[in-house]
Amino acid sequence: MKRYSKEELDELLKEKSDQYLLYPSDRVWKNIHQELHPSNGWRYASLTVLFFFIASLSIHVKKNELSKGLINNKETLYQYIETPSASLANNTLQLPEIFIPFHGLKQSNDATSINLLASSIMHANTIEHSNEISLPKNISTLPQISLPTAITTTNNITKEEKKHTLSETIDLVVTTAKKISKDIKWQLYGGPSIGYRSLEGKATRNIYQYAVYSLSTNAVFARDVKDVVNHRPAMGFELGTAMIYPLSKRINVRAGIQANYNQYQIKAFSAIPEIATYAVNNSNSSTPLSAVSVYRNNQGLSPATIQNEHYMISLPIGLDYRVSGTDKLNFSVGSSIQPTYVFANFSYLLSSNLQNYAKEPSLNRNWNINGAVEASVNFEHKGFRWSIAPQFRYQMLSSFKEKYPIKENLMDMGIKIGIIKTIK
Amino acid sequence: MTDEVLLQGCLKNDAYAQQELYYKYSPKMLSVCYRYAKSREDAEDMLQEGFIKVFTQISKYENRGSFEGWILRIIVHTCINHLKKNKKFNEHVDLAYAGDLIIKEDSIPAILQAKQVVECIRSLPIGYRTVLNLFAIEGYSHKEIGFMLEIEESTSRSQYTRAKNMLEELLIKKNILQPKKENTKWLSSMRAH
Repeated sequence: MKRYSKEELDELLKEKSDQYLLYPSDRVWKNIHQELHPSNGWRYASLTVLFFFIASLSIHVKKNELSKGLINNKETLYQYIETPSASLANNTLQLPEIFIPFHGLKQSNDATSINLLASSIMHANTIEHSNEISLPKNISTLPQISLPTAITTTNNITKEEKKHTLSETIDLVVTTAKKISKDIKWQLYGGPSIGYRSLEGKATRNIYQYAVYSLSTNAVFARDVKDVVNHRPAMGFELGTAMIYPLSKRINVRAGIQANYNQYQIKAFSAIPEIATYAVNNSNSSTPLSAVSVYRNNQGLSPATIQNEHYMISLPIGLDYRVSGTDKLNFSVGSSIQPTYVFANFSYLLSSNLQNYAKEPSLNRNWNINGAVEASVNFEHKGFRWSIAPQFRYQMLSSFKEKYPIKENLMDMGIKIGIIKTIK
Repeated sequence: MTDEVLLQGCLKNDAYAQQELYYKYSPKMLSVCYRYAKSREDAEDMLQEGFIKVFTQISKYENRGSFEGWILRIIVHTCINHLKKNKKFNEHVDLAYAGDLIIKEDSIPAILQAKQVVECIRSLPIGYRTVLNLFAIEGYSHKEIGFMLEIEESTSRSQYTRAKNMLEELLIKKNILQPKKENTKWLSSMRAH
């Protein structure tokens, strides 16, 4: 115990306060980093936007197709309503015995029903067509309407023909949507791809390790991982099957299962066994992970090539949009989201000092999400439909767990060849 | 890595430089926040808010004075703003409040003593400890403190005096401080004459 005068108390307080250090939890830096660099979520955001864009496009197209079906057949319906002036004089009209789909309206013989039917069609149609004809509010006024000449020229159609025409028209409208939704297809696909990766970040330490190592290893830790790694692409492949369900004539939704094999190569050097350490971002442990390494990044006994391999299984869910062409030959674009499980991972990780490669399975992430885009040419040949599609696949989350400071995102570029068969 | 290199990196919004700067100064800055805060969690919130300000306003640093001092000022102002949201700095509290101090054992005496001193400071009422921190440790004048805390300069002085007395008693009670005995040699020599 020291003796202090009152005057020395301030000095004591300052001295002791300066000596006292507290180490913040990881949460603080994560929050700061998130605040300063919020752009990390762009991949998810862009994919979500793309997905919703295609989904809304599909709804829009489907609506338009339904409307077109109505427009094409509306003229015939107008003919039926307009022509029998003699019958309309009594405000009566014989309609075929059918169920009218619009607004759940059931057929009846009175004039009000005809009026409602006409209004329903007008409502279902788009605004740009509304000036073609204006129907009266009351059917009794119909004889006084002046209709377009193109329509009035069909006055010589018999009553039987009219009855038949209306029945066909409405049947056609009702079945338009139903017909589209029944063509479920099955696809088997596969193809070669070129695997590579993007690397991000620098090897770093947690805050405790910073205090311990900062004097000796600052220069090493200042280096960007991209500057010290020599890696190159390698061949991989994918194989999968999917069910395709048409939302409209242009839009298909597909879901399936797919196996991926991705690999890339790293140029390294073989070396005598040494310990590779992995400093992890984890406040609960100040002790780095360690593994035995027989590969060095820079200098060693002899040049060596490391293969980092990943075997994955994924469940792609996506949308295709037919840009142009017919059913027999067309060009489409598509995108998909693929929840993925990496069931075998033979990867070498770079140590914290960027000197060694070693396997450290505890730092590998098993579950991931891939995103893929593709452009395909589709054509029919001998009863099957074929698809050839250049595609790009990108892994959304790092291959490594959050606590490993280096981020790796796998990517694959390849040609997907598929065979499609309509099963229903 | 020098402050100059880190500063240049931070000016380019380089995440690595920001992390290095954070690692370098956060332990000290957290202990500053802790002296002002009600709890460790509050201190971390203050630290987080303070460092975001440091990184977003780093272009305003003009190389006048030390970089650490600049960061410290931002952190202290952040702490004060944080406290001002909830507390008033004119409050006076009984000395009896200070008796409940709990100090954990530590193996290193110097660290233990530092921790004890900081805990004693933290056990003071908020108004007292804020003024004491600002005046005795951070080195602000009473005028500056009055401006920062929106209190009279005289209030700051009186708060500081009371805080110091209270803290002194606490430190004596915890056997960290022992008051010097009065120098009575002059009295005994006078008596001899």
